[in-house]
Amino acid sequence: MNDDTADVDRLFARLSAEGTHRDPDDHPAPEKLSAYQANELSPEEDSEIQEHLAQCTLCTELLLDLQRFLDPPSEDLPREGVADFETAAGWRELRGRMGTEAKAVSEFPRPRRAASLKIAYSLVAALALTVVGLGLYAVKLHGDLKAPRAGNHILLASAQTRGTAEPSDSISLHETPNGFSVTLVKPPEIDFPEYVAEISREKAPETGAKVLLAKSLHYQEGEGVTILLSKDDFKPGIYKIELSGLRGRQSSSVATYRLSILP
Amino acid sequence: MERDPILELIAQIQAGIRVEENSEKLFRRFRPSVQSFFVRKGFSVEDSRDLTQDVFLRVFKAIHTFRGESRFERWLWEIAAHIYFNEVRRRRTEKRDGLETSLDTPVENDDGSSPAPGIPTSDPSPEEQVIKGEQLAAFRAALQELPDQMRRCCLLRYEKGLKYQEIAIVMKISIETVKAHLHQARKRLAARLEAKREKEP
Repeated sequence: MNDDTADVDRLFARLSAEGTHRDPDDHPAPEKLSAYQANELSPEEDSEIQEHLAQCTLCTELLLDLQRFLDPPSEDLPREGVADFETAAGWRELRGRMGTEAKAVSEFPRPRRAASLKIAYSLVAALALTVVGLGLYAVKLHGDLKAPRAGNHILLASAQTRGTAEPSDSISLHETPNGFSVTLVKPPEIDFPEYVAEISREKAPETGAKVLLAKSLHYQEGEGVTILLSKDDFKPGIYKIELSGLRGRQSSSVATYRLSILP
Repeated sequence: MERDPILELIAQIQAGIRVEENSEKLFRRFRPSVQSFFVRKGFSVEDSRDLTQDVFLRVFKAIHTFRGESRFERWLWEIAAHIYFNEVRRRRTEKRDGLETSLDTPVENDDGSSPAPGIPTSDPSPEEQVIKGEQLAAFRAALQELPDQMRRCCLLRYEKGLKYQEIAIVMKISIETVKAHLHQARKRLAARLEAKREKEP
């Protein structure tokens, strides 16, 4: 290093020490920074962002973070083959919050951000009603779309499972010459040696009346629990199927399914 | 062509296929990235966990709006950056100043490389303090006369203490170009200083 470049370094140090380049107060939106990174801006905008970056530690760090998201180092990746209890706990917490949100249709306020505005809760309640209504409509629509028409009846089904099984995947049915074959799929994390299905008619005139109790059912891996319903017992109507797991004398509810047999 | 497995996961979630299972996969894959993002920003591990939850809550709430036109990681980063800005603003409003000071991430050095010479590690030395004010003003003026990209590289290296590779990412140029810019800049600035010195009586 000659004397002149040494002077340059000292002058840079002096400038830096004087804080001549503090971060600006305003920053581009993250979307704009990511558009810059992806070369989606005009040359003028590109130059504007570069000028900002040259002055702004916060935004340069953010841009480097974006690069790290796109090309993560090994420490930012899940550890293969290692039980990650922290992530598991995080997922459980998130599920809980999402579940709460599904009911409230609003982010559950954490203590540090608690909002006590009654009007907000009123809006949340109104939104919740709207979403529940839309959800019911979607379930019905989904059922309509997948309704099999192989026989003389139209069969509609929906399910409310307690675990991870998707309602759309958890019940399948078709008409046989003598009745209906219903296959129930349980969430994979729930497992019992034996199952019982209680089928009752949901709508009038025999509301709640027990129609059938199917006992000693076993789960066939890859298929599910299959129940055959006779046409003599199952006239057109809406039925509720409650699947319970049995372990010894202990019975636990697994899932509830709804079956509509339309004429 | 095989589809990006992450986009495939998201497409399934959007289509209502194994939503919970696929959402969990997405969370497991990206939680470490998001959490380490907040830790790097100076938040405590506990706060980083909370903010990571906020990010994923927003991700899953809005996942139907993700159109798959760019990488999911980019969208995820945008959400994380918004939550970061919001949190910084919230804390500033609460007049907690601890976080702001920690936002200035300590400068790391390349393996075996020397620290950026422009970054003062302590108070200016007596030698630095004798640099005359007019010399500094002349230096500032000379810096402003450098071509834009060269000047920006100088600021990022000597002011912000970025590594060559980081400057290359920020400026979207190669490391070689960064080095060439810095080399040229120092030569030009040194020449300007020398020329000024020769003019002085």
